[in-house]
Order: sequence, then structure tokens, then C-alpha cells
Amino acid sequence: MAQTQTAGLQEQFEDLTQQRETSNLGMWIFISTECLFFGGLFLAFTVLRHAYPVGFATAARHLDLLSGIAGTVALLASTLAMSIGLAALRNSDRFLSFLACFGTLACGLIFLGLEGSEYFRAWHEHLVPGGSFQFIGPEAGHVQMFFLLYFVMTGFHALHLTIGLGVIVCMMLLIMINRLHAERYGPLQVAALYWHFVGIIWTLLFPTLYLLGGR
Amino acid sequence: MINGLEVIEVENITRRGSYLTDTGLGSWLFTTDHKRIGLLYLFTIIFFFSIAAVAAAAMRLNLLTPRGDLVQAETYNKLFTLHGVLMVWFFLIPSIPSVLGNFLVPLMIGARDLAFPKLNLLSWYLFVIGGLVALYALLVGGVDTGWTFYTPYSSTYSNTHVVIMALGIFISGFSSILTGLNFIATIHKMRAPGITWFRLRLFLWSLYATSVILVLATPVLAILLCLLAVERVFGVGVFNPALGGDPLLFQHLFWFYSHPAVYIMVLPGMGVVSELVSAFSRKRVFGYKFVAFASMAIALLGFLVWGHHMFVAGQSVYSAATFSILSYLVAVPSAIKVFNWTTTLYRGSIRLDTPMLYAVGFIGLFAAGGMTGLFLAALGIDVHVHDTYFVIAHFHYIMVGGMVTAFMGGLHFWWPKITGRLYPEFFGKLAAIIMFIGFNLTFFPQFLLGYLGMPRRYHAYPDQFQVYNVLSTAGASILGVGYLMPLIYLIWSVKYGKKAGPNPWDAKGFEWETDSPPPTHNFEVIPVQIEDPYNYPPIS
Ligand SMILES: [Cu+2]
Repeated sequence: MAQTQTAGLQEQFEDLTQQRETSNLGMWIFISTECLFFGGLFLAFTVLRHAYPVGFATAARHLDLLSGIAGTVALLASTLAMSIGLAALRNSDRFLSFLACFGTLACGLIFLGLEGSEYFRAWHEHLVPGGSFQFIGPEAGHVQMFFLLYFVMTGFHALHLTIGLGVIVCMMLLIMINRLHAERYGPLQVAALYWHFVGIIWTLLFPTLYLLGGR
Repeated sequence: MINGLEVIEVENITRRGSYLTDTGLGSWLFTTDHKRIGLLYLFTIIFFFSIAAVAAAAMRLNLLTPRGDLVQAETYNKLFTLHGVLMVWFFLIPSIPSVLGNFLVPLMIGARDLAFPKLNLLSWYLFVIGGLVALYALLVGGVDTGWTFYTPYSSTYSNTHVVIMALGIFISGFSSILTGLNFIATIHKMRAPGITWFRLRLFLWSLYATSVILVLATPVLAILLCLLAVERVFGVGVFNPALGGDPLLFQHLFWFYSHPAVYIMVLPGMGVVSELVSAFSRKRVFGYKFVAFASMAIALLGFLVWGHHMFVAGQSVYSAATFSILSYLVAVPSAIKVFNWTTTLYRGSIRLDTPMLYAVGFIGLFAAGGMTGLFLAALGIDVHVHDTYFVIAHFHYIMVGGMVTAFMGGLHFWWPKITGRLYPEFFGKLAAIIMFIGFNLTFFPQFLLGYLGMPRRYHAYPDQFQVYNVLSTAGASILGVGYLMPLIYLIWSVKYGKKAGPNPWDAKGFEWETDSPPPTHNFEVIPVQIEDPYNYPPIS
């Protein structure tokens, strides 16, 4: 190619601005896909909750509200840290950016730990759907239905979160070896978009699962 | 003289190299070149098409006799499921977008590649993995639910490999999503200088509309298949009414995807036909903006009509009436396109080369398929013809008469660009005519069968339907010949066809300004669009 190659510019693009804007757009399109993906789950949950309000309320009371609140706080803190990380990188403060990404990572791990303990408790109380499920009461079938949806919805969210954590580790490495800096912050911007989306999904999941149960 | 020219051309191409120059297996399996990925998709979908076509042939043979002497009812169920699943998800949906779209989008907008070349390669791998998983479900015994996977049969009662098949479709769904994402980002951000939105080729408008559907509808199918699988594995109700689930919820979510998916399977064909009609009547497409906006209107309205599949499933009268009216509305932009193509032909300098034969065939068959769709959108008539061969005939007129015809037309039109060689024109025309005759003979009798009351998905039928079934099977054998011929002469042409040169059709567009086959990065210099597309000189 005739023109001099800019570092980090892929061959299909003319310049870094075009590359960054295109990647951003790509992530927005991906997020719109994800909205419909989770949207299907929310619809299924709403339809069944509407059909069986008592069973779903009973089941929701078996979730640990405090743990849910703590997880929500951790995840919101992680998105704040992510915003700080991006702003710091654009201001050429790579050290602060690295630190903020580490904060995001830590908060994300705390969230996963809290959710893991919720899963463990549900398993311990025989609330995991399938052969080991035990619940005494007239609404047992609907409680099991709630927990099936609970595990599918939070499970998919946790999967997205775990992928996001992997991405953040990569970003930290890239910041460390100076591949991300004030001129080339596109990848971190895209990662941040994704991370915020994961946070938003949780802020919808939390009230749907924990709070709409008639507490 | 001609020899001399050829030598110079060959030298030019070897000096510069085309995208086909490297021949190692690794250079294909790890390529990020959109043109090569398009070809990888082409080989893959031909493979799946062949399997699905064999299943169709077995069904048509079985239906020669009223008793269904060839296969058992269970086998027949597995055959139509296999045919439907492979044709829908592993042939039709990727056909024009992933083959011609991959090849042409960067060429048409004057870019070196798609926005995300690695995602593009990933999408092909996901497609192959999904296809192999689906084939695995076939090898271990098949699935008998039909391609619609209606619950609770699929989630509770069927003893076949539903979960494996669903997994295959789930994986290949992400390939669709990535392709759609790539096209939208590319069309937004990578257009060459001078290509404004209203100088965008109509093929690209139609692919843009298709991509919107791919991105917004496919995830709903993905989550639906997940819920189906967990219901089946854990035995907890989501859709099964016996377990407290809601079977209509399944149908709503399924058709929320699958009706728009019908437009994934025809919008790209409409885009191809717009290109062909313009190039072979040497005229600007009549009402360019109407055709472009009609694509978007079809994509958006297509999301609002899914309930017309559920008129007899127990939804309320009011929602049924609403869905019926909305379904009629989709016919408006579709009809606008048909009128505009026809008007483009008016006083054009028409050349009936092979691609144009396919395009003209498309217009007629699509019109027939579309108008019978109106019968099905009518509340009263639908009760009579629901789940009969009328429905089968209707959507095959759209899917095969529409999309496959357009795909063949597009493949012939851009074949010289893809391979650098011309196919034999005589055999091309012959195959196009054979396909048209075979198609109509196969599927027109099915309209009559359905109207007379023969239900779909049965391996045996009362004696009075035999005449039409024999006609249909006879037509299918002719159609089969029509498919085999291009397979043979197109492969032959890769080695022995005449050299095409950059622009054998004397058509407008960036893809015709670069070499055939194009160099790896498409253009020596990024071109600039200085006039409207389809700006053909006035016809004297
Ligand atoms: Cu429909």
C-alpha cells in the first residue's frame, strides 16, 4: 500500500477515526441484538408471572434480597469505574485508567461471587429445577417454573459478565504495553459500551426477579 | 488478434494477482477476504441444499401413490423436518446475503473489505459448526417435529433428537447475526466518496433491510430454542400446558422470528432483481426511491404481522383482525416493487440473457406467491386453507420461485466477476427455462390440492388427490434437471469458459470497473461515485 501505515490501523479502513466509529457502531448493533435476546426472556417471564402471581411471589421470597442489593451496588460501582477508566485513558493518564479497569474487574468478580453464593444456597435448599427439586406447598410447580427462569436469566447475564471480565483483562494488558493510549482508545470505548449494557441488563433483572415478588 | 489480447490480459492478471491466486488450503481456511468467504459459503450451502433436495425427492416419490408406499409415516415426518430445517437455515437464509452479499457489498461501495473481516470468517465457522451439529442430529436418528418445532410436541412428546437440532440452529443463528451486523456497519461507514444514501445500489438497500431483520429477529429465535431445550431437559413447564406453560407463547415468539425470516429469504432476491432488470433493459430503475424505501418498509412492517400464522391457534378475534390488516399492508411495498420493475422494462432496450430470464421469471412467480399470500392473510379463507398444500405452494412460490430464482439469476450475472469466466449462454438459457417449467409443474398443482383440502405433512392421502400429486412429482424431476445443469456447466466454465473481461454485460457499478476476478483488495485506487447509479445512456 502506498500510504504510510498508521499503527493499529486495519487495512480496510482509511484512518483511525473511521475505524473507531465503525467499531462503536458494530457494538451498538450487537447491543440491539442482545436487547431482543434478553427481551424474549423478559417476555416469557412476564407472561408466566402474570399467569401465576402467587407462585412467583412465593418463589421470589426465597431469594436473598440483601445479597441482590449488594450485587447491584457492586455492578453499578464497576460501571462507574469503567467510565473513569475510559476518561482517564483519553486524558493520557494510563496509570489511572489501568487502576480503574482493575476496579471494574474486582467489582465484577464480587458480583459473580455473590451470585455464586445465591446459586449455592438455592441448590442447598433444593430449589434447582430438575430431579433434585423439592418444595412443599400448593405452588410447588410454579415455584420451580420461577427458578427455571431465574437460572436461565441470571445465567445468561453471568455468561455475558464473564465474557466482559475477559475483555477487561485484555484491555488492561493492552494499556500496560502501551497499545491503548490517548490517540487509540477505540477498543476500550467498545469494551465500555458492552460493560454498561451488561450493567443495564442487571438493573432490569434485579427488580424483575427480586422486587416484583410482592415484598 | 484475440489470442494476443488474451495473452496480455493473462499477463496483467498474473502480474497483479487476483483474489484466487493463492491456492493452499490454509489460504482458504484462514482467509479474511470477503470474496473468498463468499465462495466458502457458496460451497457450504450447495452441500446442504443437496441433502435437503434429496429429502424433498424422497417425499415427492413417496407421494406418487396414495398409500405412501415408499416410507413409513415416522420417516416421512423426519424427511420434511430435515428438508425444512436445512433449506431454511442452511440454504435460503445464507444464500444471497452470505454468498453474493459477502462477495459484492465491499465491491459495490468501493471498499477494500467488510468492516469486520475476522467476524466475517467467524460467522462462516459458526455456520459450518451449526450445520455439522444439525447433520449429527440427522445421523443419530433425525427429528420429527417439523421445522416449526411446535410445543408441547417438541418439548415433551417427541422421542427424537430435538435438542441437538435446536443447538445446531442456535449456533448458526449467530452466524446470521454477525453477517447482518457486518453489513450494516459496512454500509453505514465504508462507502466510497460520492456514494450518498440515494446513490446506493438497490441491492445494498435490500441487504441493509435484510440485515436489520437478521440482527433484530434472530436473537428471539435463539432464546426461544434455549427455552425449548430447558423445558425438554428439566421437564419444567414454559410452553407445555400440561406443566402450566403457555403454548401460544411459543408460537408468538417463533413467528416473531419466522415471519420476518421470510423477508430475510426474499428481500435480497428483490435486490438482485432490481440490479438485473436495470442492467438488461439498460435503464435507470423506475422510482429508485420507492424501491429503496419499499425494502425498508417491508423489513419494518414484517415485524408486525406474525400473528397471521396463528389465526386458528386461539388468539383473540381483535388481534387476529389487526394482524390480518397489517399483513395486507405488507403487500403494498411488495407490489410497489413489482410495478417499478415492470415499468423499468417499459421502452427499455431489453436483452434476454440468462440472468434476465431468471429476473423475469422471478417477477411472475413472486407476484403469484405474493397474491396467494393475501388469501392466507384473509381471516375467513385462512380457516379453509390453513395447514394445507395451499400454504406449501404459496411459500414455495416465494422461497423457490422467488429467492432461488433470484439467487440463480444473480449467480449467473456475477459469475464472470467471481471466476473471470463466462458460462455457456445456450445451456444457461435452457436451464433457466427448464427450471421455470419444472417449478410451476411442481407447485401449481399443490395450490389446487390445498384448495381441495389435502393437509400438509401426511405421508398418505385419499385416492382423489393422486392426479395432482403425480403432476407435482413429475414437475419435481424436471426441476431437479434444472438444478443439475448449472452445477455442471458452471464448474466446467471455471476452467474452459471464455475469458470474461472486467465488464461483460456493459453494466454500471463499481464491481464492473475492477478486474475479473478482482484483486485481493478489490481496487487499485478507491473509486469515486460521480453520478447516480444506473445512469445508462439514453436509448435512441
Ligand atoms: Cu408470515
